[in-house]
Amino acid sequence: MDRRQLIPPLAAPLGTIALSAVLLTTSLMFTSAAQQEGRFNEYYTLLLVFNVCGVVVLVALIAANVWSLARQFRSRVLGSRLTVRLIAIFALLSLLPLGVVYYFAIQFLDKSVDSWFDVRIERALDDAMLLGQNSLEAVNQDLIQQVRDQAARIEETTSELEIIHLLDEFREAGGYMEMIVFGHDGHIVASSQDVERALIPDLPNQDILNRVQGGLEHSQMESVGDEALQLRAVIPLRDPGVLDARRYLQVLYPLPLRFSKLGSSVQTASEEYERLLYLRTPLKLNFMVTLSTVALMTGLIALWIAIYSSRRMMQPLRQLAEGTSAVARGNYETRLSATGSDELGVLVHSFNDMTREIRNAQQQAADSRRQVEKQRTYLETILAHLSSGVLSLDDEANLVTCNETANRILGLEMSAFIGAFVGDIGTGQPWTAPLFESIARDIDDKAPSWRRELRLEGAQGRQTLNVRGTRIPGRHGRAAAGYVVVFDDITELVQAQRKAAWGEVARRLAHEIKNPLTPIQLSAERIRRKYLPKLTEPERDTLERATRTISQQVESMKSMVNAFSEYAQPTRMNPVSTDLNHLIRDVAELHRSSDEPGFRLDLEDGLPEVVVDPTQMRQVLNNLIINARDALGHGAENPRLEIRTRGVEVERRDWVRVEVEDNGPGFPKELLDRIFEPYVTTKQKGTGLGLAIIRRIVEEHGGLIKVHNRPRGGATISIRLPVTDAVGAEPPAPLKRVVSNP
Amino acid sequence: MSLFAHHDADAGFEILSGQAAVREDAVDIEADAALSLGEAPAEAVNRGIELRFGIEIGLYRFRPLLWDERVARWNINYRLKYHALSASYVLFNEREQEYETFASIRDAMDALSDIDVTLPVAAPPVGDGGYRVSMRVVLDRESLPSPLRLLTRVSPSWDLDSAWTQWTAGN
Repeated sequence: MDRRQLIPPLAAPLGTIALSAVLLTTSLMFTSAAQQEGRFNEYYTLLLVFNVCGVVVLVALIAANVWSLARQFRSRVLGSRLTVRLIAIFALLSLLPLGVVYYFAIQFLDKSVDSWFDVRIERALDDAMLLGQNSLEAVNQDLIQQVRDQAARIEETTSELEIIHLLDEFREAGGYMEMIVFGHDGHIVASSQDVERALIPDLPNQDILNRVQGGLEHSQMESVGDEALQLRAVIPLRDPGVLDARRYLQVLYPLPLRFSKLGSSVQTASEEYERLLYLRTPLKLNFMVTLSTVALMTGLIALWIAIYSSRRMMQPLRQLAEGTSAVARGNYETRLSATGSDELGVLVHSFNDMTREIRNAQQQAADSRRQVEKQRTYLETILAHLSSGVLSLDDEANLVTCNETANRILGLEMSAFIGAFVGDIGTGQPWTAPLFESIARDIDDKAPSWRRELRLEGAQGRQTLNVRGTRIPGRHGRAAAGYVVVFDDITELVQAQRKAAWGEVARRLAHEIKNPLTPIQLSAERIRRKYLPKLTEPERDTLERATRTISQQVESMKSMVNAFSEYAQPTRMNPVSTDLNHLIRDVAELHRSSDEPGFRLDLEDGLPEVVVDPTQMRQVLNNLIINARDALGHGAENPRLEIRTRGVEVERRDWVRVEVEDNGPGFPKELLDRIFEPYVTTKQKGTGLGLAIIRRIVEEHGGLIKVHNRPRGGATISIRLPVTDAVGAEPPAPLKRVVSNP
Repeated sequence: MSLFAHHDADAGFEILSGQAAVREDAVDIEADAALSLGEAPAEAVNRGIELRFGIEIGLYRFRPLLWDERVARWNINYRLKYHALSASYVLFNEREQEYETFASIRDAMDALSDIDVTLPVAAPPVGDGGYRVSMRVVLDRESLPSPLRLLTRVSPSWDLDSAWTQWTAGN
């Protein structure tokens, strides 16, 4: 758990306020204590120590905050620069006035203290003091002279009782408080006191005794109580008379009260002034220390509060900045802690609402994406397993998607053209151009849907495609959101339909035509036998020719019907591994003659064997050679017939290609597409089934047959048969198409 | 100004010797101290500042295995000030409420150095452990005018207090 979360939210500001209040209070108390008669005078040192501790605490707090802030600043923590700026502004706003006030206060203090003292007053007080001292000295001199005179009288006296009388007399006459005659060891010989003011004799102290025992006189003003003054005079008695040697006379003379008060007044005034003079420098120093301490304390508190307030003020902004950065990085789980109900609090709440909404929207978007992905996968699975090729185009007819069947039908990797304009796809693949150009045209026609049947002539032969297109309606004013094109390879279907049609024709021919031929032929024979003998010679010749013609035509029709039945009915193959070069040489040998110098064989050495039925393949070769010879018989110059064999690789498969080429007139262009269909022929006397049968045989061997006219005349018929490794194996399955190319 | 005068090496208070006798209801203490103010405090007195001195005395009874038990504690306070009118120094004994006037500070401090006091104490007769007396002499800096306090706290010239000196009290 974050340590800050353990602290109640109001603890920090309350603590700051409390500490500031305590420190400011102690500063004020310290200021009061610094004054001569302040309330906290006796706690001056304690308050000084407390204030110094406060300064240390504040400096430590500020240093810790500044250190922390400096680290954040160096680490480029969000908000640290703005915090520093705020602190600088706050500090400037608080410390600058404080500094100005402090400077002028120091100046004012220095001048104010100095202004307390006046040289004239000082001189007047000194003069007053000197006057008082002189006055006292005069009194002192008078007293000592008087005491000397009295001592002389006492020295002349021989009786102790008389001495006592003299002391009483002198004391009362001089207004003394006390007169004592005492001995060397301090014992009192005689005394006289004013009993109202002193009961116990006040003997001099040891210092005075030492002085007078040395033969000196002592006379000194003494302070008695707060205001009272007395003069103490002690002199040695020289002539002992009746007295022992080393006796001393002491007189205590209290100054008159008025004199004492005046003297005390001068003393007090002078003393006070002298004390002030003495304390002037310490007083300035004290005030400056106090003022500096308070200013320092106030400045530090202001600085600390500036730092604290700035950081506290920046906390939600920093949180917002960090939160925004987190959102920018894609973390929408970011939530900021509430900071109150002020504008920043509203901002934080709004931020939290925003991230929550973004999170929800993101969740929904992710759900939608998953759903779309799921649908797309489902659709792709369906499309992949469709027998139809499917292309999807965007609204500008650029290819977006295609399925595997489209690749297979077109023999192209359509994914290579993703993003290309559909009309351009056929540019590099000419055999597909009709399809894609047709699609482009239909899209350009803006038809909502269309259907076409197209024929493609490609490496795989002729393809018949059934193409349907649909425009996907657009939204937001757009004409189309895209297009979907579905096409099927219906080549097999067309051929199957055609085959089925021809099979039905053959069956009907056999049933409807062949069956009546025999009765016709028999009837013609019967007519000839029955009526020939009865006719005249000319009539007989006529009947003979008619019945013969009927028989010949019926035979011809039978042959035609049989041939067609042969074409229409499936044959039984006996495939073996065959050397086509050898087979071609055998067949060519049968047709080679001395009057055909243009008959040429171009057979590739090492041609792989193919698995074919040699009899049927021989039939194929015979038919092709006969057809070529028939074509060359139409008056071609330098007739040439060439048979070529080559081993080729097409679509990663080995083939043997056999080409029969002549330089005859070629096939009419209009028949090229249908030349392998039954009853399509250029001969006057042909059944029209030769090439159809050739195509069927080639097809049943899994091969392909093509025909095209040569540019310089003549035609080439090309047969391609698959190479099978296994000897004696079945020939490969027939290819699906038999193609004739122009 | 001598407020900031360098520290006088001879200045300071020190209890040189002492003896004490515990009686039934009092203790008689005699001690000999060396008390020298030094330049800065002496000038302060001459400039009208009153100095207060305290003689702090403690009477302790020895106890076996335990710390000594304090039986009594006394503070005998004196004030020394300069009387400009009479150019003399007045030493006031607060306990005895007596004024003594001296011609010089040295004389006043010498008078203060000769400590001879009888202090009342409700101590039982000397037991098995006996007594000891602790004494020191201090300058009461807190009683000085407040402008001087800061200075006297930091200046060694004003640090005059003697260490505690103790001796065994006899009968």
